[in-house]
Amino acid sequence: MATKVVYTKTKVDSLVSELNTKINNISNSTYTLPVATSSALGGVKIGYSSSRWNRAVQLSNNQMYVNVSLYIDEHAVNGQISNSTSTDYPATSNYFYRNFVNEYASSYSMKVLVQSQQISKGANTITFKKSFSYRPAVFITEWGNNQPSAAYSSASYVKYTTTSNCTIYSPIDEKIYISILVIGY
Amino acid sequence: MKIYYDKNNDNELVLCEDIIENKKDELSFIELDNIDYDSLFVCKYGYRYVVENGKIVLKENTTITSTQEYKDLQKQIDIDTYQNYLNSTDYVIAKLNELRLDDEEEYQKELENYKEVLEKRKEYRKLLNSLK
Repeated sequence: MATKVVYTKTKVDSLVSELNTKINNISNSTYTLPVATSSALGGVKIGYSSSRWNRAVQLSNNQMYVNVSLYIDEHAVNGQISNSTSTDYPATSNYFYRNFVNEYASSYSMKVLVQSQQISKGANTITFKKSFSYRPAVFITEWGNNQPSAAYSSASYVKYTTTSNCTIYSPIDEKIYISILVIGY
Repeated sequence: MKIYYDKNNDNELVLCEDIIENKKDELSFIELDNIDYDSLFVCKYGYRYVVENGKIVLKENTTITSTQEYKDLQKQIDIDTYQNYLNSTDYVIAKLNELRLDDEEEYQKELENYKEVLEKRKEYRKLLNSLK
């Protein structure tokens, strides 16, 4: 059988006052969410401004994801256009480059770089504008207006490649712009 | 503009954008105006751009030039140069041979005109044989 407790009005007022104080304390208190670390749970913000290799975390239905689409070196492509001495020179490279990027390279998260440089006769070392973790493949996509003639076709022009540069041999007497396509990881 | 170089690597220029980004604190730099930055990405094989007394200079990279790889390439370039010259002047020999059969006077005249080419061919042929 339940015990019947009788409170005096003073006691009830005291309990109500105590309860109000507790409610006030809870509503006035501020909680600071700690920043997440590698070992502790916490909060993070979104809204990072993506730049080149650093990509922002984005949200989809409150779920986080990162878009890791292939980085395209627009600067190099633009540089190639401005260095062009022929009307079809940038168009050909860009067509090939964009198709390659769209259809193949992006599927494998490869790094692709198009770089245009002026080289002299003999062996030239070209420093890549981006570095690679492994030795990339280098293709000469354009020789400016001075494509080597058939007499040179048996020679291999890309002589050596490292993760940061390649050595290209030009048999042409004058200085020329070439465009290289560098693909790797 | 800021040109970065690596004191731990004989003051060699560092041009790769992502290497600069990742190692900025470890690299030194000079500030230069009116520089053709793009041209710094290319140099003669066996050389490299370094910073000396606040200026960019092209210096031999002995680490490269002492390798067999470098010597082999230089040899191949010489062979290509001589071979290409011989190929591109073969028409002179054909032309002279034809004239010799048809017109002795014209042949002698053209022989004189192409004297320098013929001498250079002889010299390059000799050099080519010595390299091969």
